[in-house]
Amino acid sequence: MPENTPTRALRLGVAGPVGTGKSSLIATVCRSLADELRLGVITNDIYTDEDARFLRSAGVLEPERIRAVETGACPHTAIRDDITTNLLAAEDLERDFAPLDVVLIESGGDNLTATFSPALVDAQIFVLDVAGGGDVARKGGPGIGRADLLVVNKTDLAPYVGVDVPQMVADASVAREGRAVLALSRSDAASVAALRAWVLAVLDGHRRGTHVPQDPGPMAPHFHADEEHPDGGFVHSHDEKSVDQHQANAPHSHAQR
Amino acid sequence: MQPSPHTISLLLADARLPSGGHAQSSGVEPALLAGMPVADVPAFLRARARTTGMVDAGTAVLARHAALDCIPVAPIERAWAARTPSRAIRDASKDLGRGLLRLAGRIWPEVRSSLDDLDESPPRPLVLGAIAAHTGIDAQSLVRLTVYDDMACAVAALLKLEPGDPAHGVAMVLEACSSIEPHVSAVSSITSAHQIPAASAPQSEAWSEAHALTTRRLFRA
Repeated sequence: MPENTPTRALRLGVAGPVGTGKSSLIATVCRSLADELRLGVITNDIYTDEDARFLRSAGVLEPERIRAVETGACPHTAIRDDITTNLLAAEDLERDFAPLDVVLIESGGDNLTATFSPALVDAQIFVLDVAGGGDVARKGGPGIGRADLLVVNKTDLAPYVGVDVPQMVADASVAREGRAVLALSRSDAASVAALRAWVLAVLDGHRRGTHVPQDPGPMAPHFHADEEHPDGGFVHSHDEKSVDQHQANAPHSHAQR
Repeated sequence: MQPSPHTISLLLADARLPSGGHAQSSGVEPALLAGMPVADVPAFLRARARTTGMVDAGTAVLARHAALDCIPVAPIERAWAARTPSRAIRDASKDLGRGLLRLAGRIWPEVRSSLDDLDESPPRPLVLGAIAAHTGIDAQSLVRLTVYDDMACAVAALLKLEPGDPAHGVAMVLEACSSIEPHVSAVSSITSAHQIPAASAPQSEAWSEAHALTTRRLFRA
């Protein structure tokens, strides 16, 4: 767990594949909360400060409150296996602009398996977009399955890419066993308000000490093909608490669909 | 039971040690961005090992002595800084030292107290020296560790910057490390700051200074 001191900001991670709108989502959060919260942003680009520059130019926050860290071409490592650079950047930002309410940490665009270590962030958002295809949410993965919030972004594009947003959200909700899913478009005020309310609720939990960082790490619930099975297979999860057909940690094969 | 000093050396040399090293290139990205041909990387590594590598190794040896004798390390840091004229390179070393100290402080809390006359970001060799003192690593192993870690970091970065045969990278690391063997005995036996080798690498330092100002880079330095 991050060392939790009373002055420490809520550290909120934003992960997801390349081009799904992570920077844009952060800009949206900043725009809707900058008047009432003290915010800072850390970006993890492949090529240093591209995302930081985008956010600075968006004018949603003082440029000094947006910092970039290098990831050595390993955005995955920098948020999970060796979080040193991000931790130090978060501590510096919190010290230089004390007190901060929220530090948003944007991962470099990676693949579906990249999630934040619970030692780096208190909560994390995983971002997909409709343009990536309506079936992505169903494919699961640790971020999709277990992030604190799954955002299905760019819903305004759905008619142009032939994606059924309610179906995609329903698929995601199943993959997440009911955890929060939000269909978002920055041009849809109601969805932005919902995102804002979610951030405020997590911050409130963080301040009260009731929010516990969790690790999306283990495999998400997924489908096992089984020709003998009446439904052609079964869905299972590796959640420790779930009662299942096999032990969560026991070796087993995952048939490709 | 305490882990063997040899195990600690292996741990500290492991690229998977979570202390921030993966974002560093030991001067390789600055050199390639400045136009140094990839074919020159082996020579670059030998030169780095012989210059900044020896400065860092000598500094680490003295920091080890200081921690063992409970004497202040600030004069050693000043001697290191005087031999490391590039601010970009000093900053990179301090980032690495800070990350390493953050980790070491969790595992061996006494390491922090050996460096408490410095700020929260001591240069990497001072942290390595303090860890060596508290975990029983001898001076010669410390010299080799200091150089090896820097070379391995360089080659790991090289493979991300330029496509190449990873086995060739391993050969480069071994070649650069073996090139300093004739100096290991002398550097590991120094006892005062004026004996720290003062071999700088002006071209590499200039490349690192330029690199620190670019907006498109994969590595911190």
